[in-house]
Amino acid sequence: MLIFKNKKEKIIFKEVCDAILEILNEERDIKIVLTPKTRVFSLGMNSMKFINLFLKLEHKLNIDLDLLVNKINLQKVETIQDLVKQLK
Amino acid sequence: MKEEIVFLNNKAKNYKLFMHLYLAERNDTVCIFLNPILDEKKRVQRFQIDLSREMSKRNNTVVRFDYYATGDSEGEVYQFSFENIMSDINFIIDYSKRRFRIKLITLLGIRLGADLAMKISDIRNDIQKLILIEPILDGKRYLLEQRTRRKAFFRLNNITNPIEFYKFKEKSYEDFQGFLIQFEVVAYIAELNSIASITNKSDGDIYILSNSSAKKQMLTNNKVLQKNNVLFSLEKHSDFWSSLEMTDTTNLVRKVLNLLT
Repeated sequence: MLIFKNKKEKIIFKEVCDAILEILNEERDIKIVLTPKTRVFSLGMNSMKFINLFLKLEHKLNIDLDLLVNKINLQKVETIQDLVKQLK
Repeated sequence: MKEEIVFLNNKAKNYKLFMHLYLAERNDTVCIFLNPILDEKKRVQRFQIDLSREMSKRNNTVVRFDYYATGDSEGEVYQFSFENIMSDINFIIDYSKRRFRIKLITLLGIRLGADLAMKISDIRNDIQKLILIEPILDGKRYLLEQRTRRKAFFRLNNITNPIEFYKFKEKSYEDFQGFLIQFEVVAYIAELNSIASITNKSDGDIYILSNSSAKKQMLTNNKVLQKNNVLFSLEKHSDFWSSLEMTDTTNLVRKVLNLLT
């Protein structure tokens, strides 16, 4: 497993994982361990869940949605690690 | 309690609107539901039906209807316009007042429907109560959310060169989750700023049900929550318009029923 080098990345990783788990657990209890290598698009996310993820990250990371949208290039996101790198 | 389906002609526009009435034995209130648009409309349907039935059991008649070019009303989605929506809402309010012989109406709006309810109450003096469930408040932000969803959809489906804009019969449209919306409508939504509308209201009861602390902050910053006719309630419900229709909304139904008594 890749360990994030700096503290900021670790915090972002935790917040991203928390947000994803909150969304996945809204419909049913899911026991899942997320790692940096977890593929974001294999988690049963649809476009609605994705925007909810953005909204949760806006709140958790205290970044305005428009800035968040500009930071993240979804075409280049495969794993949680990619998301964290773009968010840092 | 009785239910009735009606197709009613909006004479000002000469097209038919679909209406579903939930008739109470006694009309303590008559409440008109104002729908959200795009795919949010479908997702709130279950909640609206559950709420309507509970309301009518308690002597509140409910009027649900589809705006022109949405749901079961006449017209195709690309013909959707705010001019028609405003005409439809006014028409349904007038019809309800005549049919149920009442002077005042309650409007219950969800998402964009909530913002439309505020707009209508700016121009009419027969709106007694507004129940606003997750109003959009800021049109630009709503569009940003919808466009971000579109990006996510393309990514999820590995569409690398998507078509987002269309031209059809000399008019331009933007694709929102499969709904082609005219540029004029998009511009109208972008200009939507309902905070100003609530700020200017001096009378009537306004209940805002939301689970967004950011929204509460926005209303606090604009001094809306200091007004004695505005009640804001953070509800622990899941965002039912953004999740599946099967989401349990019992608590929200109960909350709305409490607001009516």
